[in-house]
Amino acid sequence: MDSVKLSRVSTNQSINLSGSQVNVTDNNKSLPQDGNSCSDARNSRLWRCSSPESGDSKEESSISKQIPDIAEANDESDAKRNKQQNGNAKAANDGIQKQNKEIPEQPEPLKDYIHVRARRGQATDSHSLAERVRREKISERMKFLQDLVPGCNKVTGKAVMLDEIIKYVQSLQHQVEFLSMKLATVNPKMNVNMEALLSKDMFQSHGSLPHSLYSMDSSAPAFGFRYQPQQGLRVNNGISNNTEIQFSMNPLTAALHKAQGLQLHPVDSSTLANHQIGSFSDDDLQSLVQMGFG
Amino acid sequence: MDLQTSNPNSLKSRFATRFLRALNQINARKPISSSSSPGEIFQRYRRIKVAADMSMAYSVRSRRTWSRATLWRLRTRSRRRRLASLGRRSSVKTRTTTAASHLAAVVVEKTSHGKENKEDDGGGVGVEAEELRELVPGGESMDLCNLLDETAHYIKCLTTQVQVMRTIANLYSLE
Repeated sequence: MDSVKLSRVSTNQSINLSGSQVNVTDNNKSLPQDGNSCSDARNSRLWRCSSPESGDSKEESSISKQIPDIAEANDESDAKRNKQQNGNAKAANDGIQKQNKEIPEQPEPLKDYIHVRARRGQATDSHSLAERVRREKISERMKFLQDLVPGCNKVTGKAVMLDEIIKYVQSLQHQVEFLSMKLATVNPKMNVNMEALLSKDMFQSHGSLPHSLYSMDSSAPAFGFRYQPQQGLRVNNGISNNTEIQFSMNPLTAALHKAQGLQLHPVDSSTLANHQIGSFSDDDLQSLVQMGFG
Repeated sequence: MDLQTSNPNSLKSRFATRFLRALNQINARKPISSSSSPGEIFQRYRRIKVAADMSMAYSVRSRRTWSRATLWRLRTRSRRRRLASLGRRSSVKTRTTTAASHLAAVVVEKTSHGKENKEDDGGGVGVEAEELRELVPGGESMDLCNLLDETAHYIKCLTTQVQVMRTIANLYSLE
């Protein structure tokens, strides 16, 4: 079992190392060992021992707000906490060693020291502790990035990891360029349809408007796609006059699956654009095309 | 992926709306004909790319450094180009060129001043961090810690952008 030395890194005070767990002086804060042992609700918020460490930024912001509260409460509950800590010291050491790592630097007017727990056998001067805090932050972010970038699970080491990240970002940027080139060359016949349908209401509503479907059905013979825009135009001008237009995917997808014919396709694709941008895989679209032309 | 945009305010839908609007604007201005020259296509490609980047940065507003940097970069570029074209048209070249050069100087200063803090983490990652800084917009003046944060968010937004654009391209090419 490791014995843990508590050290305080401060810029304008000398460093206090003590054999006992907690160093209590006038203007120092005493830190509770374990969140569970704290009867003070405010302190238990600070040491979130049971909660997983989510992104650093969240921790930092919430902790920095709570430190002022704790500073006030410290003086009253010091004695109580000391007794608790000494009692729980041994049990809590292993659990907390990793968890109570860091409090980031405080805002200037309040305090400006970092609370870090020094591990046994490691240097405890302020610079190396601060270094270690930074390094831990960085490695945490690297792990998060590892989840984001596909195919990075086996890679270890910062340099290789960064290489992978760089390659991935470059490939994403190239994809954006390629797709914009593709969009520049493709000829959208449904241009007007898109504009009429893609108002803000379209995006946010999920109701149903069955009679638009029926009107499309009745008005459209089984022409090829070339003639769709005109029919689409007529219907869409009628639609755009209504303010309460809501499309739902369910009747449309049902219609799709029944393969009702070409005339549904302009409406489908535009409403698809409304609701499901990014949610169709290529397979869906391929099957759409095949239904249309089959 | 589920079938419905359950959150109409998500990044995806915000970006998709804006981008489609911009795309329609571009297409309405100069409809694609079968006889477009490569030059026209290239110009349109550039406009579409700018629209994509701009709408993505707008969807993120100024919450992130990279989006602020992208917006700033795009605005400065358009401003410089407009000033340059103004300078060509009018005969008051000195005024506009000094303005343009001032803007250029600001840009250079902004990027070079950030490059001074190169050595962040223990050496070894210096070169890669530099490359990452160049890739992520606005990454020049950040320490490694924040740079990794920005990279994560940037990657997330880029993937959304690619998804949406790919779907739109597929929809367009369905006809």
